[in-house]
Amino acid sequence: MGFLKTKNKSELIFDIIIYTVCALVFLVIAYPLYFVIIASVSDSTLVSTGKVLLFPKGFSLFGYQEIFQDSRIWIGYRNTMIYALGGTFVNLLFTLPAAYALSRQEFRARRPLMFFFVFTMFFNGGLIPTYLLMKDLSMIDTMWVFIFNPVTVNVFNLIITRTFFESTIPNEMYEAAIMDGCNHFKFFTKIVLPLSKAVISVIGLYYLVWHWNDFFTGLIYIRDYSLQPLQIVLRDILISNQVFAEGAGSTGSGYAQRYADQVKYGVIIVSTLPILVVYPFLQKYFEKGVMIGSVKG
Amino acid sequence: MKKKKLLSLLLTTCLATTTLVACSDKTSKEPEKTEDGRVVLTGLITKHPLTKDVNKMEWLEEAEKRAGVDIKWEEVSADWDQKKGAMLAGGDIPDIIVGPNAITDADFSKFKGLFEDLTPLIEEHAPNVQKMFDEKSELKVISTQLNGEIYGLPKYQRYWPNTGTRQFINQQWLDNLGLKQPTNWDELYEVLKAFKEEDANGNGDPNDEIPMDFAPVGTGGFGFFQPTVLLGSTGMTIVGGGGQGYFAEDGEVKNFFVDDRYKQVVTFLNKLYKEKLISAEAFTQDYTKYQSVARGEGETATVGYTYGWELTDRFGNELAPQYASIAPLKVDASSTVQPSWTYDYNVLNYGVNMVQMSSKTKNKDAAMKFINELYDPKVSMQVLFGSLGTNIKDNGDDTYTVLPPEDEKMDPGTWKWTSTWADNGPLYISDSLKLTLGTDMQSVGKQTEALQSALDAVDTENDVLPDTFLKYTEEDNNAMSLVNTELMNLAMANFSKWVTKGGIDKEWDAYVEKMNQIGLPGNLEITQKYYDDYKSKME
Repeated sequence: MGFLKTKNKSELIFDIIIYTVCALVFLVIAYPLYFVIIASVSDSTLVSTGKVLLFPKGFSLFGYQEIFQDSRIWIGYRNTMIYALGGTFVNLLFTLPAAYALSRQEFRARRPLMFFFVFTMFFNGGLIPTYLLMKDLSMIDTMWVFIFNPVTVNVFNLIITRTFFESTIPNEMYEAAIMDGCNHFKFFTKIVLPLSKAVISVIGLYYLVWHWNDFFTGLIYIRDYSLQPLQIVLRDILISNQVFAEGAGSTGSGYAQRYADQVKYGVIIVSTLPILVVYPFLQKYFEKGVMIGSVKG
Repeated sequence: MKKKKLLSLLLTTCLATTTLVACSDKTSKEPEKTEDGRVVLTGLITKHPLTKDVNKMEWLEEAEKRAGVDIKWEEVSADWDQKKGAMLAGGDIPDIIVGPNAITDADFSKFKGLFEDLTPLIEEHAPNVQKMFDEKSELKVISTQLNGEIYGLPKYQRYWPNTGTRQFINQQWLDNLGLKQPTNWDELYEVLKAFKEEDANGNGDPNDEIPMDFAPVGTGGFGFFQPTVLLGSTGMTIVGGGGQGYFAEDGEVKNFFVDDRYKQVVTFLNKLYKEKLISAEAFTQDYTKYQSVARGEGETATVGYTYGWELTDRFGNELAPQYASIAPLKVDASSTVQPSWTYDYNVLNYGVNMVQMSSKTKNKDAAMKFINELYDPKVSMQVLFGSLGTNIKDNGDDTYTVLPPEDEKMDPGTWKWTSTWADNGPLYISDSLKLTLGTDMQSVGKQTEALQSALDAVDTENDVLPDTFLKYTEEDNNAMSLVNTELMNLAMANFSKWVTKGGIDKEWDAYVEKMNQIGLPGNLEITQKYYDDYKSKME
């Protein structure tokens, strides 16, 4: 407790308050996560009657067993990996060059083009016209629909990246590169990209998480079950383990009853864990990157 | 340098593939055939989430072979409505769509020309469907649109009981406390009070009993397992557990939400709630919790009086023997009204639009032959209960028996839903079929006995609104559903408020006036018209 000596009373009180508030915030965020974990291995009846609070009760791994013995889950995992990695690659492939072009002062069409992009942020055709477009492109029921869809370039990410390029890549650098015989392409690949690791990893993560959680695309455009992403598979496992309120001769399994919630919580963990694992590796860029470009100076 | 080359190569291939992808068009004018000469069709089924892969159903494979078709099935077990919207608007539907009201009458009129009018095809290729229409004329009435087309075919499953809701009371608790089964509301009140105050389950804690519990009440109307069944005590016959309040009495369509007898029931429920005799969480819990709570802990039950489909389904195998199913209650000892009960026979046994055909089907005759196959009495039986051999035993003398589940831990209901389309399939169980049901349906039958005399006394002609059978025009349907949504917003919110906080006496008149202002009388008039039409068609 050496630090107490160096502080006067008011500072000490201030510190205590800060720490308490931080601890509270931490608990509010961490407890639900912790609860999901213990609920996924506890007896569902005890969970739903509120008897599981701090430690698992009626321990069983039935939920996970139910999830992992379903062969579809591995197909779903594989598909989601392909869509997430391939999709993110394509997203960056389109977003970064576009952002660079839009960030150049000497590019005449910059403002009108930017207006077109921003306009689509607020207004779009909606589901049915998009569906018809995809149908005319023969992309329905193919893996490409996950990779090329209206969200391939997310305008919000485009703006972040453009602002980043504008504020961190000085014009003098471009002039110096021209002197050494660079053209725009070379300057972009050799100088701009290596200097933009932070923003690339940030929007890359945004895209990756979006692809990982994308459930709607599979729902609307895919009919062949072997192409379905993980989220759809998990949802199917989840609802086949629900208790059905239809009553009337439908199902009344006490068996489903006992484990319904286990599967529910298990699914949450199975679907979020891989993304959670990726995060620490990107986190150092993330802290640096997320607010970069928000302030010009 | 190398790196750069590689990158540009990668980019070019990437872009090239995407352009190529979009150029493979697979439409041909001729219907496809398999090697053994069967017609290839596409199909979609909205199935129950528990149902196994339809390609593993033996009966289905056989039916396809007999009809000379090979169907590529797409299986949908969730979010059908969202999928459907895009599909119909895109005009991009499979040849055959199967599922309970998967395509509604409203869809037929909205997307004209997308679905095939089956009338001529039925005459030509579907003797089984013809026979069904001849035997049960109401099935033809409910499949026919207002202009005479038949787009979707119905189902009739015959064996389901007259009601979805049964009331259960814990007989062991009654015996512990030396009480008799209640026969009217006053006695029920006394019994519940005893449950509350004493240690009914005998575990030493007088405060862990929940005297009464009912299923979560939705915002869009009432359903099964809800206390609306008490309206039966006043002689009113509701349908489907109450729904949006419409019911028929002496041939006249009424709505109980503005009926004094409903006020009586709500007042009674409020009295129970005030004394903490109804579960404090009745209005906040979800269905899963409602089910969990009744399963108690081991041998110790927690709920005294409640509603459900069947005992083991409601309380689990361990507690089920403690409970008994009881007859409808009277309002009080001096009441001379013949008690009624919610009448759900139509809701449980009939279904509309179970199967329909796309008008773009290349080989309509083959598709119709397949649909006809489903309505064959023996196939229908397998659609409902599963394949012969694994789920149904053929006794050899034209009688059949539903077999118990292969997995002993599984209950018969789950087994049925796992193995076949069950209630989600198009089927017709004719009254001449001789089939011994599984244990689950038998016990449902047994537990309905207490209610049977009340249900048998119902005048199905004039006191049951044939909700399932009415076909509205698009305008009427839209007008009614708008008004109904508003009515339910007001009525359901008030129901919860009046039961939990009271005040129905003070607010009743203003509330009735408000309901009428929203447009209840108009809806009653429209429904009455269709109800009279239906009755005249049936004669």
